[in-house]
Amino acid sequence: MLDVHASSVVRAVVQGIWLGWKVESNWTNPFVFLTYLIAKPIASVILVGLVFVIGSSASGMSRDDLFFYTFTGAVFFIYPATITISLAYLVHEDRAKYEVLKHIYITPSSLKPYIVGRGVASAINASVSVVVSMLIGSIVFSNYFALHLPIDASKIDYPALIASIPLGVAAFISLGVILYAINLVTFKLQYSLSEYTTGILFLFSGVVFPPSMLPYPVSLIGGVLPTTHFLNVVRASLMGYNAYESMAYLLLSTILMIAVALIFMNRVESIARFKGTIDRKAEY
Amino acid sequence: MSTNHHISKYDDLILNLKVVYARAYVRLKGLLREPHWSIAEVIIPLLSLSAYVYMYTMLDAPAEYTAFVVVGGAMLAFWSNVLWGMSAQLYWEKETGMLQHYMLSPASRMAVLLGMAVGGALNTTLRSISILLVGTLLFPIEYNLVDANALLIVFLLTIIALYGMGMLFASLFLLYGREATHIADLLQEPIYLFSGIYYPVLSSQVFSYAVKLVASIIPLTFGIDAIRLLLIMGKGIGDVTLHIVGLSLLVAILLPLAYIALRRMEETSKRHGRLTLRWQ
Repeated sequence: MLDVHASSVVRAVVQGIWLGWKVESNWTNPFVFLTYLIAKPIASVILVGLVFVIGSSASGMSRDDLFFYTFTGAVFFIYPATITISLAYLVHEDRAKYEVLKHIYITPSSLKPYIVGRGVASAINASVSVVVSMLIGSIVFSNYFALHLPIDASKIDYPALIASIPLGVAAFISLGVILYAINLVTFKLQYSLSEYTTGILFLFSGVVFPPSMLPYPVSLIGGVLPTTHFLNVVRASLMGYNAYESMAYLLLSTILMIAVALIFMNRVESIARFKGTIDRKAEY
Repeated sequence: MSTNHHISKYDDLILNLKVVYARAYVRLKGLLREPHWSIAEVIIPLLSLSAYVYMYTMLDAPAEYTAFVVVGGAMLAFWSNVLWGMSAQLYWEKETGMLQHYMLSPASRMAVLLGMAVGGALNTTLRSISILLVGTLLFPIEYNLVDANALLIVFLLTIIALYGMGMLFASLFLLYGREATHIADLLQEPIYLFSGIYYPVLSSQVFSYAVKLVASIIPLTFGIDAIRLLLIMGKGIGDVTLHIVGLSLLVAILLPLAYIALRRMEETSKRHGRLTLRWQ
């Protein structure tokens, strides 16, 4: 009985990934899609790098360690940004635009595995963007601005780096589920909600500057965000430093985020059914 | 029995002015109808611009860089509005079934676009000023404005050129289906990169002449650079002559181009049966 349930959940997740891949990629030909997948994140990473170049040339202070901090922050921030934005838009897309949410909802599999599948599809797209941005960004800044990433391939803590990705992705999908749940019982919030979330994560998680620079007690916000711990683990493992303390925080924040997302989603699902918002269409 | 339905040029002008007013009215009414959107459009840019202010602080950059970021962040509101409120608008009208009504009406399509531009520009100016005010309250910024008239001229030229670009994109977006939102999305970060939202481009030594030339196609590049020079660096009209000439050229090119593109794209969309096509 449990096996049947587990296999149906896995099937729903896989279908979610497949559908997510189709919806996100089949609006154009593969070449344009690849350009879209690469150009946007590369532009944001180069933008952060250029702020670094211009800021440091104005002050006369150029440090490779600071460049490493901002560059890796901008590159790996692609994960939370892509996943949370795509899951925050999902309700609007499925409910109002394509009007398929009610059909998904009445299938035997729960809505949650489907959302997770869509989140995983976004994470796969984000992984491509991260790898390409890391490569192209480091080549551009090394060749044109003499800024080198102090990464030694032989010193990278590969197990920690590899483990941080699924942990981070799980935390960001859970955050996306929370945004999904809010959108399920509200209307017209999907754009602002996702932008607020990415904006808050970008400012408070130590993406382009250490959170300790923020005034107290605002500087403490970063400590409860999984993005902060995810970036700490990624940076430490790339430099070959001990990443296990940050990894423990990342694990803890991911477990907490999953628990909150599950409780919140279950609660909101029943409110949505009660209020009839699952198939209510808002046109604007 | 035949009736003469000929509309005089005067009546035509009045009709189109009414259309401009009606379309602009929707934009301004929207400010009150969805106040949380207006609040979000002030707070969200402040979140990211604050991160760049802290980044410049981390790098020990001179104080004027904080002002550069806040001014850039305030002007960013216009690009977002041009992109989502102008360029992608006709696509959304198509999705919601409104586009055919515009096409059936006797009004000029340019009047509809002009109304969107006027309403969007007024609406966004309020948001932009709010971003500037809150940014000034949050961070230590010193302004050094000595030529207010030059600032007004540059600002108006920037807005006209930007919305001219928006009108041009709106007609190109008529042809798009699902790809419209992705294309608009794609035009976001690369434009931030080239137009110098968070750093000076035209007056910086970091960029080559080729990059500066490419960046000059975007009205925002000239606009932000000139506004920074006038508002922060205490320069006068003589120091932004090149910017004024560049922006005037862009206005002279973009507006007629938008008119031609709209006619062509409307014709092509009709021929391909795309004007009422949804969900493709």
